[in-house]
Amino acid sequence: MDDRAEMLGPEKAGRETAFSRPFADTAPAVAPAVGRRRGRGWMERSEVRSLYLLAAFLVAAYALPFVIGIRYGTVRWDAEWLGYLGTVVLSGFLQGGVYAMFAVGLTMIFGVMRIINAAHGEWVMMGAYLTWAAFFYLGVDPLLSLVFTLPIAFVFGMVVQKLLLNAVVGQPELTGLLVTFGLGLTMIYVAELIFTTDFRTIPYAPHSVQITDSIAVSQNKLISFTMALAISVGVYFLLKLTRIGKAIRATALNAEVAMVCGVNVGLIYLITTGIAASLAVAGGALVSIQFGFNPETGIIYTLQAFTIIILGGRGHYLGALIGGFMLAVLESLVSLMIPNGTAMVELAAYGLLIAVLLIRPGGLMGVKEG
Amino acid sequence: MPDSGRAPVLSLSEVSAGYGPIQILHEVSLHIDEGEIVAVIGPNGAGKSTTFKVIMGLINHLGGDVVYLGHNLVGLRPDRILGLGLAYVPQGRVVFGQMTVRENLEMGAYLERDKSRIKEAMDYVFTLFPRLGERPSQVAGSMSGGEQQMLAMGRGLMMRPKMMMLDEPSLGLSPRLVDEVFDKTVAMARGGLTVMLVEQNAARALEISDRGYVLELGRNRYQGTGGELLDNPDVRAMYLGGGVRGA
Repeated sequence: MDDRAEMLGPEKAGRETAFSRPFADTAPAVAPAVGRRRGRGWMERSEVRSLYLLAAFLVAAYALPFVIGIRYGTVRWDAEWLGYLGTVVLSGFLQGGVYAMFAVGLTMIFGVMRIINAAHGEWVMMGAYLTWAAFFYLGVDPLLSLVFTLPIAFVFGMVVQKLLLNAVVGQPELTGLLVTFGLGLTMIYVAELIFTTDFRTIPYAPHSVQITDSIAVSQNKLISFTMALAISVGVYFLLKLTRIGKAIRATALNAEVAMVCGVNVGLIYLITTGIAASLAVAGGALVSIQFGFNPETGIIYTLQAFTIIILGGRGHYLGALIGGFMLAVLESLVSLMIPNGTAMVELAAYGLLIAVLLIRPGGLMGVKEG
Repeated sequence: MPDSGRAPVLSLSEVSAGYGPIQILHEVSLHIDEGEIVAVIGPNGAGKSTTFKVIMGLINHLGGDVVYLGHNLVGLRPDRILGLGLAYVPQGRVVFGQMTVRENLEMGAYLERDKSRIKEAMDYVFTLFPRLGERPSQVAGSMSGGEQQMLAMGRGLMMRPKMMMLDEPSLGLSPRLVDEVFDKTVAMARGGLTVMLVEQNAARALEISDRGYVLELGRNRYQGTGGELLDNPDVRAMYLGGGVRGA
């Protein structure tokens, strides 16, 4: 019936809702269950095969650093080296929790609005500077400052949604990408204006904790991980159990049906971006107590978060958490064993991403849409 | 509004609507009285689904009045309209595929804060659609097409609406399930619900309807009781003639 017009309609272009599904009306016999494969209790054979392939690939990916390391002699199997290995893997895992937390914010914005937030790393950077400013000017403990930086972030997210993102919801994905890219650049230059390009650090709980005789991690890593895990799990249950969380999930699955269920979708957009900004700022606080940062640091975190959510499956919450751990552990293995670390770490991260996408285009959790 | 002394539940007078610059509906008028089943039929592109969307405030309203129980719906948000007791079940068995049956129904009652009323509504839905009641924890996306349509209708009932608009409820269903969907529609109407439905399956829709409207190219073409339209030679030739598929 109104297919031609519906595709031009004001509702989410490029998003598969029953409303925009072309030809559903003219070919009723084919309509059932198109694109409804996810959620089935069974899997197609090709899907099972791709899972095996993926498992084999992942084993190879994590074994590769060892192979190269043996070749270059960086792998020794003595007790001291195994201690290093344990330390590196553990701190990578702890780092993964923090990455995952701010990646979750990116995946939420994408899931609900189909906007790729290119400014996400700059939100993380903003969190780092807020924490730093509170620490140096007001003397507030970096973790305690979350009490007021998170509400600031939430309001900031809502303002960004209201002024910027609302204008691009439903537009082609490139539009949202460009707008947020512009926002990110603006934030970088504003930060340079205020804080200069000098690197800042926050000295916080730098002592290391001995886990076993040979494995040790720094206190601030443990603290960051615990906080990140607590926040991620909290947001997970918020989405799973609360009324507002269910409305967010429903909007992500099908905004128009959510609307006719009585969900005020505009309000959900505001809340989603508010939560995402809070997660990014919390991430900023947690990285600022471990690493130095300057206004341009955000770009690294944007790329990291991108990699994680594409790995895990765009718009998929648990996928982002798993992707975060996978990426961070692989990076730490590469940095330990392969000479010329930094470049190789990047190479390994994007190699992993590309290979996973070749095998499973939807990402690990294989979400096709919503 | 012609005929019927009672005030209609819903009336559209000379409503025009469209998507952006493209106008689909041209001064369409229709009304639905309390307890009626009214079918809107017509060929592709007639503006049947568009009629529902303009009522729900989902597309651009270009002119005319939409009045529901004394409320002017023009300019209201969909959630406000639902709050007035007008439910809409979109076309294509749209359920939240990754949510369970129960979660889908809870979403239907999103605006209802009273837990006991949600429970009552859910019990009613489970009585009407026993197959949903048998598997409240099943993920909706894994159910059959017919079950998903039942779930979408059940979700529409969760706010205890006075009126429900069903968009192509039989679309793509097997003949047996088509029968079941129409039976359930009649059952809902007997339960006091006013029903307006849009159907490609015109003959079946008119059989269960009190009255019907035929739209063509976004304009009113014919109207009458279900029987009159079924007997009208023009309507028969154009929309019902030959074998109506799927009936």
